[in-house]
Amino acid sequence: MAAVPLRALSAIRAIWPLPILLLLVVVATEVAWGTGGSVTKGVVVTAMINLTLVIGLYVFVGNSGVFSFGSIGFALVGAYTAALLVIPQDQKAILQPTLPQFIAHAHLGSVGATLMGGVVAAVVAAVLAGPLMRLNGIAAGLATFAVLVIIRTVANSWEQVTNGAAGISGIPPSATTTKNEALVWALIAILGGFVFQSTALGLRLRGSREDDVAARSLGVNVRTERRVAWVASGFVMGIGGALYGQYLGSFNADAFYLPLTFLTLAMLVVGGMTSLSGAVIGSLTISFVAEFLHRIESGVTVGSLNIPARPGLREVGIAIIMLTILILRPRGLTNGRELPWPRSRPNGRAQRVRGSTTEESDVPERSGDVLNDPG
Amino acid sequence: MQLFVQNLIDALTFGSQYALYALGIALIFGIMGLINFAHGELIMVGAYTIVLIGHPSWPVVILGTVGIAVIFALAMERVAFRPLRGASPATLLIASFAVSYLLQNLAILTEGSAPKGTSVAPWLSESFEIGSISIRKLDVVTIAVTAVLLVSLGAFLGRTRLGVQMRAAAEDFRMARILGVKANTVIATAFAISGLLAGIGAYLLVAQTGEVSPGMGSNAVLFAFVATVLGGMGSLRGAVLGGYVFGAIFEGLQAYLPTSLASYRDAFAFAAVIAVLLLRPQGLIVARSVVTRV
Repeated sequence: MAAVPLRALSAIRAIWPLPILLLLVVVATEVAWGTGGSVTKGVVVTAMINLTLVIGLYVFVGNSGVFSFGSIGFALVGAYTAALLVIPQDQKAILQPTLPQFIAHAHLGSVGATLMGGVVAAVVAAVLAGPLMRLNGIAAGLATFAVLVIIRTVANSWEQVTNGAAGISGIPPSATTTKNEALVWALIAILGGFVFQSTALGLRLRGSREDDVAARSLGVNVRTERRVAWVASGFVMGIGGALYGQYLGSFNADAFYLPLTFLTLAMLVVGGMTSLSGAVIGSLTISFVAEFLHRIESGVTVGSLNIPARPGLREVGIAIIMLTILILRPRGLTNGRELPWPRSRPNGRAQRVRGSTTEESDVPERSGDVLNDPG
Repeated sequence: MQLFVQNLIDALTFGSQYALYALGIALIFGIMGLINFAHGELIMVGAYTIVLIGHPSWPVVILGTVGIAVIFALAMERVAFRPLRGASPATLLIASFAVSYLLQNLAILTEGSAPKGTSVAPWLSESFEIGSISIRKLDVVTIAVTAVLLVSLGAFLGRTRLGVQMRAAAEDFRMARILGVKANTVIATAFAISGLLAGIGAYLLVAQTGEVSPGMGSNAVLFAFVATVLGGMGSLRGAVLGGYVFGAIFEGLQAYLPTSLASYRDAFAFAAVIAVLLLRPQGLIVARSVVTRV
């Protein structure tokens, strides 16, 4: 084969997961939308918003390999920002008379408010990036968790702006996130996540994820790369939070705390946290399973057998799936890779690399590993 | 002065509780690098046992509570954490997050999400007076029980064969194994002890609050993480010290912070966590196992 088509082919191979993922999301959304009743419609919108949040989480966690338990805090910031912008001024004057002037008089349409939610979340992330990105591993995990608690506490206590524990209400129905909006934002998030991880900076960051010391020795300033990813992730989380807030119509800080943190982390871990495909597939899978369990949870009648309502069943199911994946397939359903090119699997080569030592690496196996394999 | 002494006693009581929780977390972290988020759920399970037993005699209740908490601790190790042994601390943290979420929702599934009221040993909430200061009996019991537990744990770790093995494993797990320390025994013992601490912690907590709910454990333990980080991850003495220091800071903020800022107390506490992680990541007392290897 001539050189030019070969190069074209490899370019196609490099970007081919993107159209497939986009297509997968569109098809899954439309099928679920078309087949379900009115209950399912809300589920589809939530699933797409969660997908956006998981992509936001992935942009930092997946590329840097550093866990963040605090990113839902940025979703909270985005949600409050967008909500306060989208509620009409006269409504705000009644519901929250204590608002500072510049917020009380500000008003934006739904799209503008959502974007501002992302921007403000990114600014908060940028402020926190300085101290946080100096930390590694478990210390970073704990510090980001502390960020979540701090953001939540502020949201619950800053009565003047957030209306305290009572939360925000009065988001006009016209701003409610529709299926198409949620879908388009999710697709944009996937596109953005793919572009980010393909940039030189994204690749350097992924390199540092695989081997921090080696990356530094090659001149990668890991801190800078992480900061950029952290802010970009904060932006996407802010967008997702803004969409979720507008979808809920009224909410308080509890909507953006441990349960949502756990759900999004579970989606990422189940799919495989080191690849965008993993984030998308994990998110879709958990959304599907959650809805399935939710149906059982609210009580169903199968033939003459009546299964009573069981609140908590959905969460128990998700937790069990997540633990099972962590133990049996620590790199997730996708094994931490992007979707494979059809027919590109080398024949007979073992694809399974298990065990804790290789868990966070998506470097393809070298022939040396085969020799070391005792099996 | 009177108010100060009152606050001091409260701080000691708070501190004792956090020290108990933090110790359970530090014990596991020291040996296997796991920050056990699900420690709170051991407390929750213990607390529900108190309600379910509903027996008037306190030795029966304590025995049942501690027994169940220990069983859950051992089961959690066997089912979730043993297969993950050797995984990165971040993976272990995620797994313990999942275990915590699982147990919390199992409680909702079986017992419902509404809090349940119960009264444990009503005499504990009575007070007695020394001079002009009134002291709750529960405060005295909490401080005394914690002190006894700390001393006995210290004796166990210092004087018994298993205790010495556990300390060795905490310092250098691989080396200890090479020298014949059985990994399974040591880790299971650590979990059993953390279950014991959680069970007793649960009894004292329920005696204080008088109610149980699925989320009670994680709320209680959230601040124990602060204490653990403050004292130095993996250091047992650090965890205890961190517990008391945190109790003092927490009570101090509660008592002396202006009311407009009082609701931000938790934010200050967790900002302190970030500050400690940045400025003195090894904590107040440096664990010997903390060595950065390349």
